[in-house]
Amino acid sequence: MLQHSWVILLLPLVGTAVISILGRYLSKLATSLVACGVVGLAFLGTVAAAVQLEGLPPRLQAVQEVLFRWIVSGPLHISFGLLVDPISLLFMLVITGVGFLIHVYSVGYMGEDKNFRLYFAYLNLFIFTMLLLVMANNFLWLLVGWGGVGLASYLLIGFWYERPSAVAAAIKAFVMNVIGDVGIFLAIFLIYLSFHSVSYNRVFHLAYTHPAAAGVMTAITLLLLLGAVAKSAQLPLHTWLFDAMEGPTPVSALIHAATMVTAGVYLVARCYPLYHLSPTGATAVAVVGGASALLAATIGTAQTDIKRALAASTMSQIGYMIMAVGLGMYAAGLFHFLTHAFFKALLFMAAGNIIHALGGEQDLRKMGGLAKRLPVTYWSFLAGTLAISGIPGFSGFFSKDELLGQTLNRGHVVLWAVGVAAAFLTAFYMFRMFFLAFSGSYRGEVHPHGEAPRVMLVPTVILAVLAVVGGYLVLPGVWDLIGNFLAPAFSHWHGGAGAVGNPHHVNWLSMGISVLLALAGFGVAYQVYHRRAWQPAPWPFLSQLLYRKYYFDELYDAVFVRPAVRLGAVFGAVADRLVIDGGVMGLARGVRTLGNGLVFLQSGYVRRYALTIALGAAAILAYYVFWA
Amino acid sequence: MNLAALLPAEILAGTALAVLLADLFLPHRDKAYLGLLSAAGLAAALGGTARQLAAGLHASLWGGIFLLDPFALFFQTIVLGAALLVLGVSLPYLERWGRDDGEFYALLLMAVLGAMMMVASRNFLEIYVAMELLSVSSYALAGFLRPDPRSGEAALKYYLQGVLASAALLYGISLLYGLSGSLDLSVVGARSAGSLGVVALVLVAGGFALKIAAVPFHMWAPDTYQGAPAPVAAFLSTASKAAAFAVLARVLLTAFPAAQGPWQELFAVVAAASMALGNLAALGQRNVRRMLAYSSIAQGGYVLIALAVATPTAVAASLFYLAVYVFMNVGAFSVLSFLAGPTGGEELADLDGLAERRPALALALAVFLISLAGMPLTAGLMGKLYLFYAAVQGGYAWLALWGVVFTVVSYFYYFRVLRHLFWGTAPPRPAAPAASVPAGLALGAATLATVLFGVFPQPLLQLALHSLGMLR
Repeated sequence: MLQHSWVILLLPLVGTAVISILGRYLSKLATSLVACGVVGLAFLGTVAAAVQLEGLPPRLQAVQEVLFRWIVSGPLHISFGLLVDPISLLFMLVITGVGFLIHVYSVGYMGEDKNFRLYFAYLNLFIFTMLLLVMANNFLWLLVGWGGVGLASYLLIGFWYERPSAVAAAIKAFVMNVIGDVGIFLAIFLIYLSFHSVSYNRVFHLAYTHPAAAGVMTAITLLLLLGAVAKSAQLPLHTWLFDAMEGPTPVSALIHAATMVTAGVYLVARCYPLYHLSPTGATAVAVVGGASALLAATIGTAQTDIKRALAASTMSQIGYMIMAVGLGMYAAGLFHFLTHAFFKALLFMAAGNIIHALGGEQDLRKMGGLAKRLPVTYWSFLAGTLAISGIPGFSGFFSKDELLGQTLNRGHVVLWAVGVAAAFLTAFYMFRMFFLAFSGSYRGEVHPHGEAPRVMLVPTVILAVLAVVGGYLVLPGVWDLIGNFLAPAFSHWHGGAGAVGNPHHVNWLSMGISVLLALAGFGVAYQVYHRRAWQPAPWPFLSQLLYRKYYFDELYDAVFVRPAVRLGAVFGAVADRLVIDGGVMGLARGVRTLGNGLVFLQSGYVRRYALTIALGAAAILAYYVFWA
Repeated sequence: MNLAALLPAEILAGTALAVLLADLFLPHRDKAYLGLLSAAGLAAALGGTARQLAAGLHASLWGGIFLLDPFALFFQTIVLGAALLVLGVSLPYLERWGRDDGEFYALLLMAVLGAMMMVASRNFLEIYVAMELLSVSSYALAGFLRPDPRSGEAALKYYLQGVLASAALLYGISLLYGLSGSLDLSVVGARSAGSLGVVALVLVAGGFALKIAAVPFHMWAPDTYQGAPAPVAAFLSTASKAAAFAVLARVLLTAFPAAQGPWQELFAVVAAASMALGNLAALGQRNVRRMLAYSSIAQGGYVLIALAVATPTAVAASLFYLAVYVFMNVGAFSVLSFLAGPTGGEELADLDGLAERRPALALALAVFLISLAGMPLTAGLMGKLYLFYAAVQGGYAWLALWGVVFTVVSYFYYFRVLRHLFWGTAPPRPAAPAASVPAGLALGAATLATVLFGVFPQPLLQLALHSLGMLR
């Protein structure tokens, strides 16, 4: 499998092709089987590849496979090749594994939708582009995957295209992501100018043997960060993620929680040799991550829509990851990516079960008392809440404390404090959500249906189990399976030192404080929200500020959107009328007149034609004989 | 050795004779087999030539009269491929006109044979003979729709001007012979210096320029392309043009490298004039076939940039362009051949709403037109890109700029067709006849190739570069 990893990449593409082309002949069952089948097979293939890779000596754990030469033009050589190493494998496992569960879940969730087949065609397309993103062996194809996931995300956010809000959200997500795409594109230009190559291997090698100017490296890393920030919904390009919740809930689980939004983490981890060379770039990454983690956590405390609250939490948790990779703690960041994929996908799917049972209701104020009616969802959501809050024994505890402990070990006290504060807020907003949904009495108007069908419950429960036990891959002071798995990937080039923490250097102080704060967060939430009716926050100004997400949307609207629209109106009135219509249309009219004149020459008489030939030849001859 | 290397040509000649003979004995309802036989012969010849090309054959035959080098083989492959596509489209077309006799196929195969021999000739006499085989067969093909007076007009006009070109060519050749005492391409140029040599060169070039339909030798093209059977127009505008270009390039680059300065100037002007006139005149056309005829003149102009620049990169770019041009131009004429009946049906208005009536045909035509216009993801763009890039590199930036300007002009008439295809509302009309399997195959292959070479141009470009052995 390792030598034929293109099969893994191709499977979901086959799925999307089959469903799009033969869709109208496929029953819903057949569509589901194809869509889930290809992703399931891709998962099995990835597992096989992972087993094979583990069998190789560490030095060889980066298998490259060049599939074809794409552009060969003078010095520019770009081939399409795949790179399978521990980093890409970790992402592939999550993309296909969690992706498979969410595909199965979607069969139930989207069962009644009239565009059932289209949905699965899009979903398979997403898996393909996401795999392309993490499997490409050079920057240009990374960008192709990067743009591809943006497209799939756009299509799926706007999937319910009758809703104006969904269409607006899709456009917003696309535009903000394109800002990031441009950043990466410019970074690739700089990389090519500096190293005359876009392949990871050559670039990372040359970055040390023929270093570019420090300023150039900083520019490259900052431009890459711009791409990461847009895709991973970090400050200041984060506003699209909240609106992206307009998409179907399984889409939020897969794309806007588990996989696509973590592409920024992948990008920084993949480019670790470059970030090692640019301390400025790396620091910027860490600061952006820390700030996003804290800011998003505060936003999460005031949201009333269950999915938007989870979106805030996603942004916050990815902030942790970005902070970790910015500080060079790559293994810790990727470990948190893994556990987050489990518990955040779980939380979205459980939220999906609630929304399903309440006939589309997403407002936390109209929930309550659902524990009895939705027992499986209740226990699953609880598992996810415990995991994300960092309660000892659950997966989030292991990954978050690994991350925070290492931060403190390295002496980044401020970022550590930010992280711990965010951990407190995380526990608070998660239990707030949990109590509002499940405790007390039901506050909604519609009569809730019962539990979701089994096709939705089984994937939820599987993820619940993973969210609980997934953390034991790294047992502080005992073993570090994730670190061992990833270590070879960070040994090929300079800059990987310290990527994997020492499992025996446990920072008990950090762990103790963050556990205490997590429990405190739970305690406050319990006091305020357990078995109580909804109540508005005591400080209206603060709660409005948080509910409005610090007015970023309003700010962008005032600073960018409206001036742009106004400018467009001005150009439309002045430039378009005068310059375009006047100049270009006039030119076009002139050209057309000239064309008609030429047609007139074509009279249809052969004698005239012969004369033309004779005159033409005579003119040419005369030129050569008399002037040349 | 000689006979084995010429096997593809022999297959073709044999098939042509077999078709003519079988035509005598087959009852009318079985004439379709003649088409299939011809297709088989063409496919066999194509396969053989492609194998020779892949193997990098370089054989001088009969004391150097013929030279089968990669350059010749590349063009033979182009010509054979174009003919195969044309043949696929001709089958239903001729049937509809009730003209599905064996003669058409035999004539087409003869024309192809002439083109094949022409590009492999290294001797002026042989070039002339091969070109006459191509020309005479083409005259007959252009007039093949006897019931239609326009077909006769097309043939007559083509013939009269063709004769003029042949005369110019022969006159030029005789001058060269007089100057050098030889007809061999490798000898003639060196011995024909001086202004009389230049005059001879201009006359010879003029003879070929007529086949390319380059300004000012283009006047026949609109009338002939419009009146001739649509598949024949497709053949004339691609295979015949490519063969003439190949001979012209070979003559200029191998026989007259010394006179490079003068003929570079000449072709810069001819290319510029062709681009300008072809694109401008196409703007005013309401008949789509006539519009495509002018577009072909302009496309010939783009290709002739290569002879003005005369660097290996530029010539390779022209090889690439001609190869992909075969797919898109044969494709465009073929789609029209499905629509047109004896009563016409090739006006812009006739294309209104085609996307609803025949979505596959409309899509294919759209692909060909945006490729001819040079839009991204099509082979046409890559071809133009390579040509213009080579022009800039070779110091002819003004010519590249000229080409870009007229490319923009060309958007207007290509996209006007798209507007009619997709946004036109049509009065109800009898459905166009369904495409047959061979025609569908030909059209599908052309569409696929147009897109494929637009996305993955590299292999074809490499092949074109490798085929320039004679220049190094």
